[in-house]
Amino acid sequence: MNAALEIKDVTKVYDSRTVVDDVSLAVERGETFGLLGPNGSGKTTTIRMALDIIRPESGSVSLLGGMPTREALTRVGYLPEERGLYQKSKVIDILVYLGRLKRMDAATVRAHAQEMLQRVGLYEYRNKKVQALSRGMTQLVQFAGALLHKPDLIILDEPFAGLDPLNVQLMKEILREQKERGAAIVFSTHQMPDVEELCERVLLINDGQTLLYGRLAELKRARGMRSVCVTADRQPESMLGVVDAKFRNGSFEYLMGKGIKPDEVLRAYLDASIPVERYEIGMPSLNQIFIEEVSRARNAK
Amino acid sequence: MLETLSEMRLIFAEELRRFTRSKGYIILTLAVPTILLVVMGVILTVRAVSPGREEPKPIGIVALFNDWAFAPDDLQRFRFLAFNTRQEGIDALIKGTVKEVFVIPEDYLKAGRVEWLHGKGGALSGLDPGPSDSSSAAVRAYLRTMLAIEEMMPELLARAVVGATVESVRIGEDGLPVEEDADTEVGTIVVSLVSTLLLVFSIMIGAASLGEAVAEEKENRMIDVLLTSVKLLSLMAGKVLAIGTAQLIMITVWVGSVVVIAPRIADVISSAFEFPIDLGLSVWGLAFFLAGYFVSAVIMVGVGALAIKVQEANQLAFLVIIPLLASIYVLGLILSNPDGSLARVLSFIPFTAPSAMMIRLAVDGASVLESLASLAVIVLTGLGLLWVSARVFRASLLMYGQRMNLRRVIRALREAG
Repeated sequence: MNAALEIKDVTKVYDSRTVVDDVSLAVERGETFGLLGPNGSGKTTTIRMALDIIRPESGSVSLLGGMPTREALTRVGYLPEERGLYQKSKVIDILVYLGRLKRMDAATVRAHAQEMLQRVGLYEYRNKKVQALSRGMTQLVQFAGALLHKPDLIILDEPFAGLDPLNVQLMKEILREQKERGAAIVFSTHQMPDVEELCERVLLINDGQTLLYGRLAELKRARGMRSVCVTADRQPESMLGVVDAKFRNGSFEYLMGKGIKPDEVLRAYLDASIPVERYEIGMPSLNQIFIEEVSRARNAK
Repeated sequence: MLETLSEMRLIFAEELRRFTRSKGYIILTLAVPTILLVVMGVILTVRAVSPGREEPKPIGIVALFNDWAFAPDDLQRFRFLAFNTRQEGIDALIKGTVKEVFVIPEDYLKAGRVEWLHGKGGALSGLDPGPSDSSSAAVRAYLRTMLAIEEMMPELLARAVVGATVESVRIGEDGLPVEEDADTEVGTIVVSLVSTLLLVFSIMIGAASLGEAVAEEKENRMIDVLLTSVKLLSLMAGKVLAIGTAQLIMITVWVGSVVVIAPRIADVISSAFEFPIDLGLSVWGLAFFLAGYFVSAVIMVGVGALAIKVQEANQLAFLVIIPLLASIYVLGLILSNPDGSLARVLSFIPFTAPSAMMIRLAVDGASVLESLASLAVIVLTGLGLLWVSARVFRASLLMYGQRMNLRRVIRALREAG
């Protein structure tokens, strides 16, 4: 496999605490990959090892088919989690600088910078200082900076955090465009709906250990038809085997425990003589999987 | 190697551009020339409006004794104006042609009395006014001359009256006169002191700015973005060189303005000394500035990398600022005994060496060999600190968001290796 990014059995220890423990992943070209996990689970450390900012104690990293050399890294675009540019510099100057660092010539980088600023709707701010921009605008400028050199691998750490829905939509559109031109995209996030919308494959880590890894659809399928949606006036007082229940958009949503059949929900309604308008069996949402897996891992400790 | 140089050039250009365009830098750079221009303006204005600076009026002399109605050429520097009668003198005083009139009466030889005609005093003024010291001296000189002129040759008489001007000759260690005069020597020391102070302040500002720049990039994680594009060495070197260059521009403007404007100020202050420019001393000054900045800069790169926030880096700048301030504090001690053991010891401590050597070189208190040795000690210390600083920088990347303590820093340093 000619992966854009391949991490094999990497382990990182800080202060005698293992923050990334034997983690592996591979991201193919043209793929959007989700790196998931609660706060402090080791996502950023994994990303920083992938970018050769820090070195793992053991394991290996392959970037764009080879070692993470300076040459390979010039083909990577990176948006860190905590964002902030040089406050007193002009937007266009920062983008030109970032492009020049990626070995682009001055004329090309200026043209690309203007093009990217137009794409993110900030062209008229090109000569403004960063301190004059809002937080969301600054984030978009930094996002533009990460894509300026048309990288083959794009790594984004919590890219949508702090953005309004319109800008999130814009960023997703741009990411789809990048994917269409063949770039591999890795992003870490807490927003499961975003992952379901954009990613084909995911890695879920907790306390530096892999909990789930694979194709999203397969992960869901493997967990069975455990989600049930019922539209009714009320719900039975007790239902055996239900691990999570929510009332949303006029319907009751149930997550069934392992080994419990969805039919049990319908049987409970019938036994309670509650008329059912709609009954639908579905796959669990990524959010449900996330909560369940992380809770299970924490309870096991 | 070429790649590293290319990366360094990019970082250097960007850092220099950003740093030299900051308001703080521009204000600081222009502060010294602006202050000097203001001082010169104030002096010129005061001179222009001060009545004391007007051309002094002559002293009127009315000699009624023995046909003394003239003044010899050698006494012209007293600006006498002779009148034939007392009334002519009074008329000139009223017109303002003279500031005062001395009337030497016919019985002068017998009575020894001279009449002083003036317009000073009045009901509201101080009691019993008298002629100024300069006027009294002038009239006494005139009287002595006139009394002796019949018996002495005029040139001997003039010399007797005027006396002599004192010429200073400094004897060097070889027993021969040193060519520079006392004013020039004082000027050299003052210029060296001022240059040293500016140099030390410039090093302080540069090093503190560097720490702040590194901490800012760490705080906003720009450093992560930069390190995916350039090597750590290129990043550090580019920053150190850029801010060093900016400080060099600043100190050039400062020293340049002192050299260009200060002599103009000296021109309007009659007692001011000359401002000599010693090319050799300037070259040594540049070398010691670069070496001193190098040491402080690499320390502050490490400090900036260890800090979690910019404010923390600013607080930790005292690690560099206090030793540099101490180097200013001991300047007086060095100046009082530039060849003493204290001066020699301070010349080999990296923080105090630049200022100590600048002063010692200005008063010929250090040999070329000693200067080179001092420079070598500073540079070697800087290289050692660079190695430590690079490890600290690398270690700081492992310590994101973690509060700094000695145990953690030592562990991170071990891991960074």
